[in-house]
Amino acid sequence: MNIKSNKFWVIVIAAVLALCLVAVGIWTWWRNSQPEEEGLIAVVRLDGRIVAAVDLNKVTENYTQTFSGESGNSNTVEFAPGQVRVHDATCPDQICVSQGWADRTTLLPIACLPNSLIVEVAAAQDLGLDSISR
Amino acid sequence: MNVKRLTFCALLTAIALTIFMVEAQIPLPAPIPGLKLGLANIVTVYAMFALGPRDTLLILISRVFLGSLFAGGSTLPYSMAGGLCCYLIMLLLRKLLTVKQLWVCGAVSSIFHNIGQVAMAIFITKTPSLILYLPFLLIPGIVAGTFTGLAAQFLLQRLGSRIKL
Repeated sequence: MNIKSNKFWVIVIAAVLALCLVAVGIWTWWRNSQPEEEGLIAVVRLDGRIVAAVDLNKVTENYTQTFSGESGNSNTVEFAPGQVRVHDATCPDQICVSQGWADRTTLLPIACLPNSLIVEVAAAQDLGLDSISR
Repeated sequence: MNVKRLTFCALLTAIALTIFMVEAQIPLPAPIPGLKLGLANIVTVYAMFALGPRDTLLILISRVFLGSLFAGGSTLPYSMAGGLCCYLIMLLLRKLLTVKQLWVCGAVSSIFHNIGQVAMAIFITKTPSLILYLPFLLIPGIVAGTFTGLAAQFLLQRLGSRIKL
């Protein structure tokens, strides 16, 4: 097939699209098929460093913690039983706040790129963070 | 660079920046960082085929730099990484594609823009799992990229012979 033909490019672009759809499908299935178990960890990363690792199953009452990074901005993260969210932030776009609650089945980590803050939720053994969380 | 060419580059940068600022006001359909229509890429694709790589690089860097200055927030590294990845693949596509295939350039360059963006995000935050964002960015990105490429294609076909530098 000629690399300059429209057909070639349609196939390439369609293949990338199909691959993405399959990836989304597999990830959605995987996230929802994991058994509920002990040790659901919320990991907060700020400027590339882990600044908090909280076992969400051990949280009994909602509480907030504020993280301020090198950018000079700050995010207030709310930890709740089984879930976590960015409650408020000083970033201009507020995407992290609108991402809402993240729990065991949430597909994407919460990301506040202007502040370099990431909140991930995963089972303890998938993170390999046992030494930190205990 | 002669004055006419410089002026044309400045004009294209101003147009790209205007598109960028207007686009920033459009609310996102989903709260995914980095998700956008990428309409300013119309100018980049057009410039790559109408003016060549050197002028396109100047227009792209000026737009990304000024855009992040106007929009606020420190998202410059992400847009710059995306923009440069997008630029590099366009250098190659420029040799392969005809003026009737700019839609391909739009779609493929949007793929590489997203790859650059996500790679920079992984590098800065040191969170490998941000790769999960890639398919979620690519699916709308490819669709939007095809249309911005098509817009650049129509622009080039109608404007092509009338701009003499």
